[in-house]
Order: sequence, then structure tokens, then C-alpha cells
Amino acid sequence: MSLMRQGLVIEKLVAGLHRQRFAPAAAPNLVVRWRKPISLGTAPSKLFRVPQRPQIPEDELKEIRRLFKNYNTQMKSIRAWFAEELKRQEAVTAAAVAGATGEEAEFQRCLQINEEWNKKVAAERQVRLAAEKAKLTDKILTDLEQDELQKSKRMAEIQQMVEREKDLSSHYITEENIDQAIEEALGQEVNYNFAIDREGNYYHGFSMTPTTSHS
Amino acid sequence: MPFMKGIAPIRRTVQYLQSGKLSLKDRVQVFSVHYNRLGENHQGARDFVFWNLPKVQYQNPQVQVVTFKEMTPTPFIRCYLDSGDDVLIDVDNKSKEEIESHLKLVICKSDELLAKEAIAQEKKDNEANFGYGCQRHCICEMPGQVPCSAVCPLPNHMRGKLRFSTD
Repeated sequence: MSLMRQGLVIEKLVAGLHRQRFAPAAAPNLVVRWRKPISLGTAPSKLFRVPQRPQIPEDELKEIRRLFKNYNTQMKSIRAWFAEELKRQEAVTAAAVAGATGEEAEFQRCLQINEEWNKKVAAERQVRLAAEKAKLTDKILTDLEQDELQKSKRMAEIQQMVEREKDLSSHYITEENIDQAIEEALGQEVNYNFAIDREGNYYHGFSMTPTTSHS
Repeated sequence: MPFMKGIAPIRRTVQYLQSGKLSLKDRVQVFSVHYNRLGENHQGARDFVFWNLPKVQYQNPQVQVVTFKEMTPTPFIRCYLDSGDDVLIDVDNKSKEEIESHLKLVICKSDELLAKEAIAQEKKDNEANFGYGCQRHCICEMPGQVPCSAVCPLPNHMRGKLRFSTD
């Protein structure tokens, strides 16, 4: 027996044993050989291999299609039934599952911590805002006092000014004494056409006689 | 933007961005910060946005990070979750460091979880692996390894069926 033939025989024996051991009737938990998922695409080593088209007789193709359609219909109904069943079960157990997972519990604990933090920050803010408000009130009161002081000071100054003007008002020119004032003004001639020397003496008009005042 | 221009360009270095510790939980979808440009109580939020927000975005590329300015009397952080809920974190008058440590505690993945994820990631990314989803399709692509028998048959003295054959 050649080596190649021997190898083939051994392979067939092993395959037969495998079938026997994992017959579908005997074992519901059938072991299926791992296969590469189709999503992986063609292996780089098989990239340029062109597979032969299968030659199927027409009547057999018809039969295959009939079986395939039957299979699809049955599978679809089973799948729909399972989906409904799952939906029903999920509705019952959703809450229980959510509570049972550790992650959700952990997140709830985190939220609790955050809640406490927020409360603490809010309390601190209340204190801070109260202090700021008190400070602002103080400042406003001080400013008002300052304003009042400034105002009274200004009023005193104005009062003083008014008093002074009142005193001076006796010398004002009014309608009653305007004629007298005109008379006086005309009577007192003032000549601004004068020169002045280094000693501060005035020389009026064409006079060369110095005087000590300019009038 | 040029590399060394602008305010604190260190914020744009990879080392700085990778040093971030705020890896948000998977359920967080949007991370929003509300703060003002003025005000003592907004200083921590401002600093956090200036120094830490680039790190947060770098560490969480799948999360939307937004800031809202001049729209609030007190600063706060709001995280929107995938369930539609939101988590409100008051950061009024808190420093940048305080905000960071609190966020780490409340809305970020724990160190244990991060370590687990890192190990899983490391296993996936091990350069020595070969096969589907790896850098190498076959170990024969490495120089010094035995070539694929489909391409170049093994020498007879290394083939079991010839070594152990009786005839």
C-alpha cells in the first residue's frame, strides 16, 4: 500500500468515527467544527483561485429550491415565535436584570456621591452668596453715607457763597440806582493810555510827570 | 495652527493629551460645560476648560464635548447619557483639581476597569499574533520561520508521514 493511499484510509476511518460519536440523534449538543466567518473574505493564499461552477441538473435544482423555500418558511416562523417569546420574557426580567448587574449598581453609587457633592456645593454657595450680599449692603450703606456727607459739604459751600453774594448785593447796580451809577462812571474818567517805567511809575497821556497809580 | 504659537501650546502636545485621566463611562454621549468668562466662582471651571478639556476630548473621541459661555449664573457640567438621562455636576467655586478628581470619581471609568480594558486591548494588539485581524496573515511571513507548506513543501526529513512510515 502506498503512503498516499494509507493516509486516505486513515482519514476516512477518523471521519467515520467522528460521525458515529457525534451523530445528531445521539447528541443534541452537536460539536460543529469551527469555520472561518464569511466576513473575513478570501484568504490571501486563495485570492487568485477560481472555483468551478457546480453543475446541477434542472430537476434537482427545482427540488433543492422547493426544499429551500420550505426550510426558509419554517425557519422564519420559528424565528418570529422566538422573537415574541423573547420580548415577553424581556418585559418581565428587564428590571431584575438591570438591578442585578454590578455596573448599574456602581453607577447608582456614583450618582449618589454626585448628589451629595451637589448638595454640599449648594450649601457653600448659599453661605458665599449671603456673605457677598452682606458685603454689598455694607458697601451701599457706606456709599450712601459718603454721598450724604459730600452733599452736605457742598450745600454748606453753596450757603457760604450765597451769604457772600448777599453781602455784595448792596453794591449791585439796579434799576433804581442805575442813573446814579452812570453819573458816577461819567464823573470818574479813567485813562488806560499810560506807560510804565522800571520803578513802577505811571505816565499818563503826554505828561512826563510820574504818578504812583494808573488812574 | 503652528505648533508653538498661541496660549499654552503644551496643550496640543501628544504627551500632554495622553496624560489625561478622565476616561468617561461608555454610557456618556455628550459632555457639556457651562461657565462664564468673568466671576471668581467660575475660575475653576474656566481653568478646567482651558487645561483639561483638550485631554477629555482626546481620551474620549466618541463623546461630544461642548461648552456654553455666558449663559448661567453659576458654573456646572452636564453629561447626557445614552439612556436620555443627564447627570448634573455643580462646580461652583471649585478649583480645577477638585473638579477633575470629582469627575474621575463620578462619571469616569474606574482604574480597575481601565486596567482590564488595557489588558484586553494589549492582547488584541500584540504584534506577535498572526492570523485574521492581525498584521500578519501567516507566521511564514516572518523571516526565519518555516515557510507555508502550501507554497514550499517541507523537506522530507521533517515530514511525519515520511519520517514514521514503515515502508
